[in-house]
Amino acid sequence: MNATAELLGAIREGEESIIGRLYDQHRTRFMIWAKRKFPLESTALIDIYQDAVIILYQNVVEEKVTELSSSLETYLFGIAKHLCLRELRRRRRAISQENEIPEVAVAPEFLRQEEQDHRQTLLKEGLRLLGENCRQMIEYFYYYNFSHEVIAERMSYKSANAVKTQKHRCMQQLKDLLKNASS
Amino acid sequence: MSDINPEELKNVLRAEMRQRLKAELSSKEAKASIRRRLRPLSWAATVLLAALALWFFWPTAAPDGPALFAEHFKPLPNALSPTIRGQEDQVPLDQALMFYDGGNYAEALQQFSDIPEAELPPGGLMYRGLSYLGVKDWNNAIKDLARAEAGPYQLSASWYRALAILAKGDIDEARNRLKTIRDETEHPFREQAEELLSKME
Repeated sequence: MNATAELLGAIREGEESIIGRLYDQHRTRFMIWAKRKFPLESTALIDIYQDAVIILYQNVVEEKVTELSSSLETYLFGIAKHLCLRELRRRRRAISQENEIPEVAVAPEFLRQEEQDHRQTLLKEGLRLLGENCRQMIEYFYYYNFSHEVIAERMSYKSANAVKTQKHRCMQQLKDLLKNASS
Repeated sequence: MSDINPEELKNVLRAEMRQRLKAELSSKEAKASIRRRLRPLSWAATVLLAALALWFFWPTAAPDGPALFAEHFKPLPNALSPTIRGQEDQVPLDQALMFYDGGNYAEALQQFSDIPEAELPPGGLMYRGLSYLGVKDWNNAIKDLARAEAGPYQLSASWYRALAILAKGDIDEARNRLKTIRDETEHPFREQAEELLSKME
């Protein structure tokens, strides 16, 4: 197993601390490369680099990336390049729109978005109120897609069934929190 | 909102994780930035400390006594007797001074050794001391010049004695004696002493 495959494996295993190593490994070369390529100041490039590293991490966790045909750095810089171009487009748009009257969002779409944002805020708040143990279990199950067996091993539960029971309790607790918050 | 849509939950977890990782990387960057900003300062501090340590602990280069002696030693001209070569009736002192004038200090000392100590005049003592200086026999030079210093050759003997002490490597003692010479306004070797002292600083 080469270093990249090992790194991807560790990310998929939920080793969050690996992100710091990944960040340090490519930061210097990224800054040199990006400063030559894009007319963006260092603070914006650092922000973009952080976002790119997080996207890479989450893409691996969500198995959008399982193996790389190019090097990890090429993939990371590819994401960062896309983000740099998006930032440049956003800035150009902001300048061109400065003197224009802002468009008013179409009501139904606007309301749908608002409703969705509200639900997500409630969910986020609910997860925070659940406590670390439940939050971690839900993250492992719904985000990392870990099986009950893997979660049992990681979180030192006796069995997969014990995880299932605890997860059910956590989800019920979350539903109750949301119900209370909505009412 | 009774049921929780798993996809929606995943989106929230994703956003939450993103926020958490962003905070972690931002904090990492901030720490690294402080380190990067402090790096030139730490280098400067290191260099400064190293310079201070050198200043404190570097052994002060001691003056090279023999080299300074060689630079400043000029034999005192023989004022005791004219050198008349080839005279048969020359007394040992005259012969010694003749060799002294010729710079043959070893032979001069050989001639001085024929003169009984009690018969050696103060001038003889002075030139024997100078001959010892010529052959780099510092201890005997110092001994004779110290005795000469008590007689009519006091001033010259004090200068040559200081030179002998310097050549022997007793720097502090030589410095003190040279300072005394320098501080005597009428001393014939005052300027030489001052020049030598400046080279010893």
